[in-house]
Amino acid sequence: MAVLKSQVSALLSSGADATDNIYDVVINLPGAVTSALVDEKIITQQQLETSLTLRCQGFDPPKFTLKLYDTPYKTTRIKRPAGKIDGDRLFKLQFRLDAYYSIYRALLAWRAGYMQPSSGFAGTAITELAADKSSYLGQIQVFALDSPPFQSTGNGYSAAGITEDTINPSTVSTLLAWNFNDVWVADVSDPIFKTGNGEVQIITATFAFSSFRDPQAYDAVPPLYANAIIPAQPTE
Amino acid sequence: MGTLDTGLQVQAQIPGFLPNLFEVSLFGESSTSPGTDDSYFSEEYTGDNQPTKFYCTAYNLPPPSITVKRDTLSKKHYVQKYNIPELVTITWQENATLDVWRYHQDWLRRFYNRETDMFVTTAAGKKRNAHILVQKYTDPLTAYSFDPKLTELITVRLIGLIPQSIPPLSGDWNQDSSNTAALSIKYYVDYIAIVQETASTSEAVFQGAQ
Repeated sequence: MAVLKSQVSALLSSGADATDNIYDVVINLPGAVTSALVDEKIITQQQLETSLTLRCQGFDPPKFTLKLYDTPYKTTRIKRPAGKIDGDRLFKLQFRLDAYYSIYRALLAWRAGYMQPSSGFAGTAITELAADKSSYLGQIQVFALDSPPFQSTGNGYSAAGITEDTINPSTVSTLLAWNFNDVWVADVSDPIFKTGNGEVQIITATFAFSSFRDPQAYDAVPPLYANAIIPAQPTE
Repeated sequence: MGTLDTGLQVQAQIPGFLPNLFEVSLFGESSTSPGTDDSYFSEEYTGDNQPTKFYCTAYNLPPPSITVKRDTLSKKHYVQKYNIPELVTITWQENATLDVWRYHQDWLRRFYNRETDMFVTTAAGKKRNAHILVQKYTDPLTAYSFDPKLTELITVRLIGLIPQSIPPLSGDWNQDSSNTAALSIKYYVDYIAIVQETASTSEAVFQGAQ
């Protein structure tokens, strides 16, 4: 049994804790939607991408569970994997709306490809709906820094992804990442207006996706993230 | 006879069959295997030589059965009749352009021409074949591999299919496309062969028939 003194020393040297606020959500809207918004001069592409990232309130990864089934054996029973994954390929993001409602407008423009309450249009296809056969599928990436933030040697206050820009996998090698492809917005909640305290408008968008990589698979992609299973430690 | 603990360990290592790993191809009658030569039936609707590929969401092959009677004198059982399954059921997923319905509509036209109210006497296109490729995971994954591959477990060849009916076509302002996600169609089948096509030899290995 270890003595208390050594355990305290071990606790102090056990390393930094993960925090839930060092992450970035990067949303790439479908090209057709972005083009329409930019062409209409509602917002520039850079403003839109920055606004979507900075105003995203958080991220809950989609939950998948392995279905189990009972196998009896005489007086007892055991569980075995049933060969089926339960869970929807959906996740929700909350956005703090800007005063120009540009995020809300962008999400509605995205959804308009297959749902328009005003016109009654309800499509069943999520690809090749635009006149130029552009896809209405986008991409959403979520990056969390999976190492303690530290200053790069000789470059004060330049911890990538913390003080300079969104976390970028091309410059930051230690990442916990979700990469959702073929994303379409399945639902957009509407702003609610009321006379009261002047609270910030929050809306929730539900995104559906097909292919994706979660950290389990993302780490396995060589060579850049091959070491992400055991994150690289910062050099002194 | 082992202990309960030993038996439990063995039981825990028996993997279950995965009934959700399969694909179905539907093609003409003159070929025995899709994609092996150019001689097989050219689909009227699709216009090419490739097997028609719709998404099949379920299949059901009723098993053969035997009728057994007991001899009144010897008290022993004897087989009186072997019952061959005649109807198989395949469930298709309809798409936005009604491809499943149109394919079967064309198929039915090979039997009876409603425009002229005449039976069609030629054999071409009447009977068709389908392959149900029952799959398995190739091998247990190596450590930290994310590239699972599916390979053939067995192939069920449905020979001489004739649709009992074609999918219904219905419209309803109270319905949506989720109602057409599962079109269940019954087919008469002449013969069901069970083979393994990717065996070590180039020829499919006959496993059994129904």
